[in-house]
Amino acid sequence: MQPTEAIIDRVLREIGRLDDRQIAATARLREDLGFDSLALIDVAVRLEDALGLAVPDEELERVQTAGELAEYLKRTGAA
Amino acid sequence: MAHIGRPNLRIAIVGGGIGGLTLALALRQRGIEADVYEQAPQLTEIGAAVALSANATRELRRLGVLDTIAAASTEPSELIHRSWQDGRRIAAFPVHHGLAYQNRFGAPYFGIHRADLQKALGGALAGAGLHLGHRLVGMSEHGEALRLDFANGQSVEADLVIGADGVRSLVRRYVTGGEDAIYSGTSAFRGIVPVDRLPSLPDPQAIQFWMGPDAHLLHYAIGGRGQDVNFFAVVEGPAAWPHPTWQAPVTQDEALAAFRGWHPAVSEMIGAVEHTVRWGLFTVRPLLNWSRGRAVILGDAAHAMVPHHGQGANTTIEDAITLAEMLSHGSIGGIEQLLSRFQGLRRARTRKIQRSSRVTNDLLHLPDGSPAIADRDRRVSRFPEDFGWIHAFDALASAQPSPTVSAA
Ligand SMILES: Cc1cc2nc3c(=O)[nH]c(=O)nc-3n(C[C@H](O)[C@H](O)[C@H](O)COP(=O)(O)OP(=O)(O)OC[C@H]3O[C@@H](n4cnc5c(N)ncnc54)[C@H](O)[C@@H]3O)c2cc1C
Repeated sequence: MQPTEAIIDRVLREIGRLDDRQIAATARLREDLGFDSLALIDVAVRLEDALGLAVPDEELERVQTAGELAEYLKRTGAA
Repeated sequence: MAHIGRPNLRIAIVGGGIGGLTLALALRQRGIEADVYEQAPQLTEIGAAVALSANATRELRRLGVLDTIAAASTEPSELIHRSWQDGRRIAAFPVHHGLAYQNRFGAPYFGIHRADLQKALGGALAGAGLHLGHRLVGMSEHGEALRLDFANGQSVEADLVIGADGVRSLVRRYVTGGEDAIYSGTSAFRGIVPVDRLPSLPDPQAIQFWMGPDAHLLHYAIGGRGQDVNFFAVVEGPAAWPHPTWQAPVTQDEALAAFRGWHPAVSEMIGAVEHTVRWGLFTVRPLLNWSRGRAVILGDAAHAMVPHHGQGANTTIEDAITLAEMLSHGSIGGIEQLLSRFQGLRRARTRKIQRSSRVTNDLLHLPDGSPAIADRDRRVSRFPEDFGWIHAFDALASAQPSPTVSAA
């Protein structure tokens, strides 16, 4: 796994308490993984702290899947 | 280990509003002296009120000022959501009735005039370390210390600067290097009206939201015996805010026109006040960093929000208690790490409340016949379930050093 994907994977597991589940890039954050808008803010803040990049509310509302989140972060400068 | 506070660590708080005063008081309670620099020549507040919820009142009780505050406050009888034109009650929950709110959240819900709140906080501080007439105009590094320059020509040095200087914060500009306040696209009329001038108002002692097309009106009683009603009427627009301050001139007609056709209780309330200004509602976009070196921001400076959950002042009080408690456990060598742990404790919570307040705006401003109305009515009927997390929060408990971290 690329470093950004690994960080996303870890953060999603921790916040979503998804310990033993596989998180595919196509997994939908809300429908498949059960994140609501408040839990997604926890995800955003943890990713920001880990990567030093902003994940604004608009992006958070736009992204649908774990893969799209990774794409966004890479586009804005994550490894 | 050198103690935090004078003379080892000089703490300067910029801004003597709700956040700055609460912080100074909480630090003093913990044996840490700080200096507060406030631009105003006197601690007088603009004529408006604030609603204090349990997440703040439990802290004010710990600070020993809640009795003073209670004497000037009114606890709403109920929380009611109404429809704009026919005044239909869409949902209602007891607040003071049966002490339902206190029993659930462990502390009261108070409406209070801001001047009374400031008097209670400032009175408890008894002038210690409070420097009025000090408007910060410049901030720079001076070796290990920070230098603050004031408009009155004075300068001081401090080892830790806390910016509690509100939505247009200058300390924030030092911390982030930019201007992060954003006009929300909404503005408000506000006023305080003696309750006996509101004969049409049903449930005058309740906190009520009147929800209508592109606007809403929120009001609650204040003043010890509920003798005054504070209202806050929010409208969509104007589209842009070119004014240098958050107030812009309006005519009485503009204020009345914004609520023409609403329930008589609403037009009566708006018409009971001479409107000369409207308030632009500003927010601060979620920031990555609340600190730079030994300067940190809190309150509106860090996370100003639209006021639809009435949580700006309450989250500011949470910030102040959290930081004071952390400093009382801190050491001088670890200040910068302490400040990043502080934002680590506060950033997610305040961003959630900021977002939730913003989303609430749209919920409150639906036009009649909108397909979203049924969902709105369902949501306002779930208020305690959906928003209990805001009120149940215990900032002091959240700031306790965890066993694994405090070993350092
Ligand atoms: C219309 C309106 C209604 C509101 N209603 C509610 C409500 O019901 N409930 C609620 O919880 N919140 C409410 N809020 C929000 C609440 O008022 C703020 O969140 C709260 O006051 C923030 O506290 P603060 O200490 O961060 O900033 P402020 O209270 O704004 O204090 C900042 C202080 O810093 C001083 N200052 C600024 N710049 C300088 C400088 N350069 N040098 C020195 N001093 C400076 C100012 O004079 C001021 O005293 C409302 C806000 C508005 C605009």
